[in-house]
Amino acid sequence: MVYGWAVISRTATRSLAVVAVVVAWTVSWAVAALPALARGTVPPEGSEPPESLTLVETLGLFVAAPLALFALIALAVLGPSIGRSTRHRTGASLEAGPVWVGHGGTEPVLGDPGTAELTSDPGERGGASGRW
Amino acid sequence: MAAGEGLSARERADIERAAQRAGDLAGLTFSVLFADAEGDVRAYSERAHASLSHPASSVLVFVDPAARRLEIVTGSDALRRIDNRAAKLAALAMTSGFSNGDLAGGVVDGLQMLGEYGNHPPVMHTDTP
Repeated sequence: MVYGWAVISRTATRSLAVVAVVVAWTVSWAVAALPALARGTVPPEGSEPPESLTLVETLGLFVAAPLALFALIALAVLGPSIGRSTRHRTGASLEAGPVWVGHGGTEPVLGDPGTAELTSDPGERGGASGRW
Repeated sequence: MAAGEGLSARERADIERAAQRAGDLAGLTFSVLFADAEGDVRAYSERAHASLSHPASSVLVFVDPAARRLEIVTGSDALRRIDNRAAKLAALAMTSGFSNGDLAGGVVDGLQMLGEYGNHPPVMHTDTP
């Protein structure tokens, strides 16, 4: 029997979208602020004019540093959910075949459920069924 | 391909703990089987239950994710502690979780319900006058 299972990476996609929006927002504000930085400000009388920043320093201070900060925060917030994005979702077939869980952590040695014979009276069993 | 790759290690560990806890509470053995059933799902799950080492005192939660089917099978001894009504309630809790796309979470919730119910079995003698 061939099993096929699907892993949905919707959470990772959503996380990347959030990161992209945050980055775009930061870049747009930084670019908008660049002309003001280029014009400079009038220093108070008696003070020595500060050394102007080079283009590289300006970009590093007002673009790269905020971006790095946002990326760090985004990673800290979204990282765990990205790691969990490989969980199995319902409606998907199991590629790995039958999976037993239980029995105190040890994999039970069982026969093939498809061929195992019923060893007890069906009337002695109970339970319930469900669909979703 | 190794069995169990359909679930993450964390999910398996969560279900493992929930099965262990439910077993301790109810004094039964809880097993969970994820598989694609061949043929009739109920019959397949009952055969799987019969293949357990102690079917009488075992509860099997069978989940077929592809067919969106859930079966809870209780053995003869387990049935005295977890009646069909309790199993149905647990099945509803599980399928509710499955509907939200959370397979492992639904199983964990259902196992918890089954364990707690098995810890307080129904008093049968009050059913007759």
